[in-house]
Amino acid sequence: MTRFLLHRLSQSILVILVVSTLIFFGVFLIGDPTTLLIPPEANQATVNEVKRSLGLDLPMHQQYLRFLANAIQGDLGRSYVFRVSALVVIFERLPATLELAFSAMFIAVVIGVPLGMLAGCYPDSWVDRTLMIGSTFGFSVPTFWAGLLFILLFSVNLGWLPASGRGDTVSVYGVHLSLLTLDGLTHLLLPAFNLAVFPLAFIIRLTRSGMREAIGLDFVRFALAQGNTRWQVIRIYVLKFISIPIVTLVGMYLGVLIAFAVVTESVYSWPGTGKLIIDSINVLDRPVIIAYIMVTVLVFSIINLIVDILYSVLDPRIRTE
Amino acid sequence: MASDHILLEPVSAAPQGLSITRVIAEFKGHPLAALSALFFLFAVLAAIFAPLLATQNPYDLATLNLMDSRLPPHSEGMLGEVFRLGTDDLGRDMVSAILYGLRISLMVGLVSSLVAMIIGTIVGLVSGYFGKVIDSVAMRLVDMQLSIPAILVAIILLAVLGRGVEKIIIALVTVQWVYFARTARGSALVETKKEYVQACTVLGYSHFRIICFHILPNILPPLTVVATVEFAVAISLEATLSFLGVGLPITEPSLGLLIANGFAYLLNGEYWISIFPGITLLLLVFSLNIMSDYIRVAINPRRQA
Repeated sequence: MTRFLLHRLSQSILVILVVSTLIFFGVFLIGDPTTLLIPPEANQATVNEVKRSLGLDLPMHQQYLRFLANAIQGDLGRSYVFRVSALVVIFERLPATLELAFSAMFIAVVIGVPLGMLAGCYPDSWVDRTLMIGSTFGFSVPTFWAGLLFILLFSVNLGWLPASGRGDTVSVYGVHLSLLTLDGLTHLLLPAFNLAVFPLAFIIRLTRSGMREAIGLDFVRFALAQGNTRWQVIRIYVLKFISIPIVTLVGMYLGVLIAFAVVTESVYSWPGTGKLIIDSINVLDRPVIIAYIMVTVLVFSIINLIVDILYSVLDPRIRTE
Repeated sequence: MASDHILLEPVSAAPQGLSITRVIAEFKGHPLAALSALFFLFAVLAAIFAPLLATQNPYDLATLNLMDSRLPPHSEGMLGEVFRLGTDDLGRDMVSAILYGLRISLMVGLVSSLVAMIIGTIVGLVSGYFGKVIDSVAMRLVDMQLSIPAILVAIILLAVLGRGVEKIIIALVTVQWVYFARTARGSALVETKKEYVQACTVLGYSHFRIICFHILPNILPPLTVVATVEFAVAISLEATLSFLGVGLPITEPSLGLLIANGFAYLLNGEYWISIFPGITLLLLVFSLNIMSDYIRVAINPRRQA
């Protein structure tokens, strides 16, 4: 088990190292940020001064080594726009993104698992067929367009929910959350549902196929023969059986949702990291772009590691391997 | 949402090869599948013949009349023409704009998924056939890329490359080749162990001949399913990236850009600029996904048993 985790850990570190190298050279190719930072009428002396202060006058390999050395110390440079550490800029906005992604995943699991079980319990019934077509529909709808439809319906026409921003937040140990105020919750609802459409479709499909597989297995037949009711069997045995693939999917998709928050945040002006990265790309704020990617890849690695640990808790067979 | 791991379960290889008749029979038996195929065909034809079908050329600013801007559906323009789906902020007929947008979206989706299929299949075939070092290096690369969500890879690449048709195609190919490589490799691995490949080797056929003429035809069915799914993903992802402003330039108004353009007016209740291109996009992606579902069922070898 420890060896398995160490193996996965070294794999994550390799991914982070490769990504950081690719990012550095990729962003190096984007172009010279000084032209954006200095007014065009500035003289050459000012340009040189700014270049020196940003370390852009050094040759590429020296810049790379400096970048690596600083990155290890947790310094990914100062944002050209905000004039503070890029990491600080990211971490200020990360809670909003995580809150959105986790809320969306929560909605997808709470709605998706029961629906998938329903479809799996009655194979080829009208419920099953409707849910299957519905789930294909769910992953066919582009997220950004579903977001627009939600706004049109719930904000413009019905006027029930706000279409942008985070609303009131509460500070919990310095982290601002929308989840805990009524106003914040109403702001969170639409974006979270928007982001939940895609994982919801998948969770329905996965739970359904898990259910269909489980129903035919011996342990279910024995449990029924013992005189347990259908509901008891599902609750005690089947749910445990189908939980492993669901946990995998949830773990895998949390990363995807954090990435896809870029879309939802842009539609709903949600002040998270996703909106930040699009803005930063448009103004070529290099340190923020790099910091965003590094932090996101780091978050993915942590999530993957947690999923690996959860696996071995759920499935004893993995522990002994 | 447009992207990751659409293929939940690995697509299994069909040993008896891709039977077109079987796929057609499957589609005939299911109204939804037939309807999807018909819609898709209709959309492709509409895209090809867009210049003939459109009442105006949406790129030609001289033919547009600013007085006709943002007219609701079925309204009459200054020159007495009727705008069935309304007009956008430049007075562009939405029907014409959608037809041309469909053209761009389909073209970008088709080219990028085809190139991704060619690259991915070559890598997967070589990897699965030769195994050893080539295989472990290629699959390590695939795993590493799959650990980062597709949309993030595409956004990062476009941040470096900038906007443009060829740039978004590069980004989509980079994102998608891994799915083809993984499927091709898995199927090639199974095929390589079979007796007919041994027979070919004994007969002294070259590796190239065995791969191209003996293994490739047998791994086409699962690749077809991946191709339909990835075609849908490419269209959807292009629209998403263009909507975010990192995809196509404003001179190439794909469906995604049309929707983005209408977003500002949506809040005033002027829904038609965003909604009609959106419905077209949705139906396009939906019909492809439904088709891939049924093709998957049709070529499933277990079903014949």
